[in-house]
Amino acid sequence: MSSHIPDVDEVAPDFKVLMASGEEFRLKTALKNTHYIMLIFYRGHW
Amino acid sequence: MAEIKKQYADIIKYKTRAYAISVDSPKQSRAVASEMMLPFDLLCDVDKQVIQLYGLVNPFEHGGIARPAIFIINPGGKICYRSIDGTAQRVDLTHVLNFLKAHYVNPDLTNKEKVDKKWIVPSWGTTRQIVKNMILRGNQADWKHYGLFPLSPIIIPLKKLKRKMEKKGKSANPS
Repeated sequence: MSSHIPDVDEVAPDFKVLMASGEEFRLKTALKNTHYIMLIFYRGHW
Repeated sequence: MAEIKKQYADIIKYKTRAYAISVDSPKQSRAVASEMMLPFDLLCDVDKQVIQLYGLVNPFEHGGIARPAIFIINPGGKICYRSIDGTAQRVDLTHVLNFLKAHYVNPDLTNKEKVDKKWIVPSWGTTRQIVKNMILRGNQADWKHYGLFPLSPIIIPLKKLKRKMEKKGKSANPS
């Protein structure tokens, strides 16, 4: 388990997850389709 | 998230798309998205692979959930902005927007948000949810975050001191 939080100027680790719609999301692919990505980590529906 | 929703038109203006990620299932995420009428997609890190990859696991709550944070990633895949936040203390979204604006002019700009976090006064909706969690699920963690906030002038310097001591210990004993 990594405890390193990626810093600015580092390459954002790529990942693949499901979207709420059930479609697949991959960071690398999303970066191709748009200019910038704002990734918001949130605590969830507690 | 509600604040980001309000400012989303401005975020899009700077050629940025937002994705919000949590350990919720697609079903739970769909409920959040429709309840809040969010204009951006929610990502479901059900097996916690992404929050581990980004070092953002908060193991003390609900069996391990994400620490609140914002990353902005440029088209080259590099992080150009990051803010690691607390449950009751988040970055002011105007800072993020100012960064996007400045970055639009100067793409080499990077920023690591360290200070100027603003305390969140829980909204009526949040308060209702916290009380519901306490009563229905016996969960007191959320309440603790907001309840401890008046003690922050003591807690934050203590945490800083602890980190300093740890660093000193490491440099004295490099193994």
